[in-house]
Amino acid sequence: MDLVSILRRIPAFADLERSLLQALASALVIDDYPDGHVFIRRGERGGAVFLVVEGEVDVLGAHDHPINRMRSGDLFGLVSLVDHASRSATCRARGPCRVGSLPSTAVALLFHQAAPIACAFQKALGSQLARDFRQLDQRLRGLADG
Amino acid sequence: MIPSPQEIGERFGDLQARVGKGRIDSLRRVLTPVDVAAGAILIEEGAPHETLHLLWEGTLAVQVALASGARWEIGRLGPGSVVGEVSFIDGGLASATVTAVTGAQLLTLSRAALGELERSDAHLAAGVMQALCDSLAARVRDASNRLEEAGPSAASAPSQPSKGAGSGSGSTWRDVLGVLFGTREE
Repeated sequence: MDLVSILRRIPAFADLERSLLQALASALVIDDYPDGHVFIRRGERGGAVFLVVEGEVDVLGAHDHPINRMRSGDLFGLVSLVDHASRSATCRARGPCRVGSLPSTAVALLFHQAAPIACAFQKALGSQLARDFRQLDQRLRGLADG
Repeated sequence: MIPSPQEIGERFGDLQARVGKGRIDSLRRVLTPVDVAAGAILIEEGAPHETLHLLWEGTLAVQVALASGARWEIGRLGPGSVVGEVSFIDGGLASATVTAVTGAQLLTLSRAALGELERSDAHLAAGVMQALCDSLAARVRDASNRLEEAGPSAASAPSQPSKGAGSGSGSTWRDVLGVLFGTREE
């Protein structure tokens, strides 16, 4: 399992120096989780950022409505980087999976030590928010047309 | 003429909060002032647009096109607003048309300039991104909540229009779109 290679596949992290990717990989707490494990519960605040190493994690909205499916190399829980934001979705293991977690305290420390890592995380968060924006925009226009 | 760092910090307080008061001068150096005449189209929906605009003076109108062909003005933006951040972040096509209602003065930052900033001052670049993400997250969350309040059928409706689905009127969805785009009613 080469975490650095997995991290480098994330577009926002692709240009980071190897030493920074190694620092990030070292900070990740890797663990194996069973099917159905809930990493994030919708409505909760704070917490960690997660990286799927192996397996799949389902992202569920209101009423357990499926929104997305995360696979190896996908980050989730990025919204915890936004102050005072509650989790907008529940993230649950789909089958056994291996996931790396980065507690918010570790994130803050990394950001302080290495601004390029902070920048990469903000870019990853921005990409996710932009995707959410566009999906919501399309849905609202569809409803408006109805 | 580009405003002073203090003026920029006061008008764009959220940006200053993330970038840091001491770094506003560095940010100011990478911003380009642009004047647009009343009636000019600043951003065209569906076209490539990778520039972030900080609205210094003037009023902008935000308009979206619906699948039916209808065009809606969903609100307006005044001084202190940030425009074009979604395409700036993801490099995608513009999601709305933005037109100057009055003559307007803007401070602009290109994606290329942000890339340079990442190399020269990553703290500043991270602060700029964080400010944009804060604003975008709040608006997406607010609009999502309003969509959910409309009921399960609306919240889970596909993007294609469906007759009878959703409990909101057309004007309600226009309001929610306004929330999403960060506009205010005139």
